[in-house]
Amino acid sequence: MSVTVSERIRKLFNDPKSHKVLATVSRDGIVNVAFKDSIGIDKEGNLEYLELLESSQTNRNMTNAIWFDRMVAVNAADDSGISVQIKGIPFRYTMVGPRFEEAYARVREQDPDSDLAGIWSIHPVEVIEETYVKRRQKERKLYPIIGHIDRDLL
Amino acid sequence: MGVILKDWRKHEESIDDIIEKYPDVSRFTILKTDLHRRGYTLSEAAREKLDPKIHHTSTRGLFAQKDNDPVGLTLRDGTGIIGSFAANDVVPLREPYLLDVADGKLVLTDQGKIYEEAEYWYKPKYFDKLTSKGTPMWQVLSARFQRLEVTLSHSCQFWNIPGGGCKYCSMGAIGAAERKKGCPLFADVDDIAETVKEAVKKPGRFAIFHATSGSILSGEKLLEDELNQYILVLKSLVPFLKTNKLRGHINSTAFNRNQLERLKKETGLDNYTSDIEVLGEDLFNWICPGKAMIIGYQEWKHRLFDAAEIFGKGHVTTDIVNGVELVKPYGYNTEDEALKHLLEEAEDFAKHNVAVVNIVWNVVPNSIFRDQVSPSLDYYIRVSRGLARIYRTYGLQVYMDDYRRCGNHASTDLTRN
Repeated sequence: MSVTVSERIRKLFNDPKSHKVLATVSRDGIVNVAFKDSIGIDKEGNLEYLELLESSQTNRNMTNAIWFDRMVAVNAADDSGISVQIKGIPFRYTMVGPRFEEAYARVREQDPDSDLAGIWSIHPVEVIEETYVKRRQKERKLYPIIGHIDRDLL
Repeated sequence: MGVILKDWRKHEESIDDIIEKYPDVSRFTILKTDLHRRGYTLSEAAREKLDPKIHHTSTRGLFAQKDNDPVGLTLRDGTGIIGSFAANDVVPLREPYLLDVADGKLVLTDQGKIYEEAEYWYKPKYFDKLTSKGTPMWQVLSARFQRLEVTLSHSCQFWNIPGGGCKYCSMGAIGAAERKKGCPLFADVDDIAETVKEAVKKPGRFAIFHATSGSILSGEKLLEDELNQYILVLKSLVPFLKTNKLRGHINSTAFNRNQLERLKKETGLDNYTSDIEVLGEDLFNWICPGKAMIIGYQEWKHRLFDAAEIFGKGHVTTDIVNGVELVKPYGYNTEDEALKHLLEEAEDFAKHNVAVVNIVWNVVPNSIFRDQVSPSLDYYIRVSRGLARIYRTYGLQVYMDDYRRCGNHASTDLTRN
C-alpha cells in the first residue's frame, strides 16, 4: 500500500544539494548501497531514480526488486541534519519513449559525457523520520529506560 | 477464435502454474515467453488506442509483417515483446492473449484475467521521411524499441538449392515474392547511410545498429558477396561518426576465419552473431539441409569459435529456433531429453566463449513445419533458465543480445538481475 509523501519531504528529496543514498539487495541476498544524486520525487509522489550506469549492481538489484516485488530504500539528508528514509517497491522501468528521451536530453545537457540507462519509478511504502534529534526525542519519550544513568545525575 | 490445439489447456500447465513453479524466474519473462509462443490480439478498445501517427505499426524486417498492427509491446519492467501479433487470417495453435484496456491502460489478459500492463512501441521520427532517392525511410531501416536494424537482403540462397531451405522458416516464400517483383538483391547502401544519419538525430532513441541478411552464397569465394555487402554498409556510416565506429552488431551466415578477420579489420565491428538455429548435428542436417550441405554443423560451430577468438568473449552469440528440436518424426521424443541435449551442447559453445541464445519458435503457415506443434511453456522456461545459468557459470556477458539491444531472447533477459 502506498503512502503519501509530504511537501517537506518532497523538497528534501528534490533539493539538488541534499545527499541521497539508495540501498538495494541482490538476487543472492547481498545488500548494496550507493549515493545517487539522480533521485527525486515526482508529481505523483513516487520516487524517481535516473540510472546512469546500465551495468551497475544497483541496476541489477532494482531489476530483481521489480521482478519479485522486493523493497528498496532511499535515505535523503541535508547539511542541517534533516534526514528521511523512504522504503518502496519499484513498479516501472522506463527506457524508451518520450519520457525517457526527455530525461536523456536533460542528463546529456548536465554532462555531455553521460548516458542514461533508464528511469526507475518506486512506489513509497513507508516513510521514516531519520533526523537524529527527532529520533532521539521520540526514543526518550517511548522508552525512558534506554540510556545511561550518569545522564540522570546532577 | 478457432484454434488448432482445441484442448491444449487441459494438457499443458498454465502460465499461473509456471509462475508458481519457478519462483526464481521473472514473471515478466515468463509472460513474454508465452506471448511469443501464443501471440496476442487486440480488443476494440486496444485497437482504438493504437495510433499509426505515433505508434510503430509498419516494418520491413527480415520476415513479413502486416501494416497497421502493433510491431511490438513494452512491459513495465522494460521487457520487449517482439512481433507476436496474431493475424486474423491465421488459425493459431493456441488461443492468443488479448490486449485490452482497463482503467485507461493497455493490459494483457487471458481468459479475463489481467496479467500485466503494456505499451505500444513508438514510431521512430525518421519513419515519415524519404531518402534523397525518394525511398520511404521506414522501408530502408526497421526498428525495435532501442535497436535500429537493416536487412541487407530478403533473399536466402539456401532456398535456391532444391530442398535446401530451413524447414521452420518462411524466408523462401518472401524471397521468391521479392524476386517476382524484380526487387534488387541488396538494399541500397546510400539509402541506408542516409537513413541511419537521420535516425540517430533523435538522442536516446537507439542503443545499437544491427544488420542482418538472408544468406547470400555467391561471390569469388563462398559468402564473399554477403561479406562485401556488410563491409560496404558499415563503412558507409563512417563519414558521420566521431570515432569511426558505431555501436554495431551483425547477424550473418557463418563466415570463415579469413572473412571474420577481414570484417573486423575493415570495419572495427565489435559484435557478431551467426545463427546455428538448432543444436545437434543430426537435427541440423535434417532441419537445415542447405546449411548442412554447404557449410556443415561442425564447421559452423568452429567458425563461431573462431569468431569468439577474433571478436572476444561476450561479443559472439548464436541463436537457436527453440522448439524445433522436438518436431516429429526425427526430433527428441520428450522435452526432458531435448533439454538435456540442448544444454549440454550449449555448454560446449560457452566453453569456447560463444553464448547460445534462444528465440521461441513461431510455427508459421508458409513453412515446411507448418503442421508441427511448438512445445510447452514449461519447456521454454527450463531452457531459458538453463542457458542463463550457463552464461553466469562461464562469465559470458550478453549485452549485445540483451533485452534492450535485441529484446527477442528470454535467456538473455534472465541475466538482467
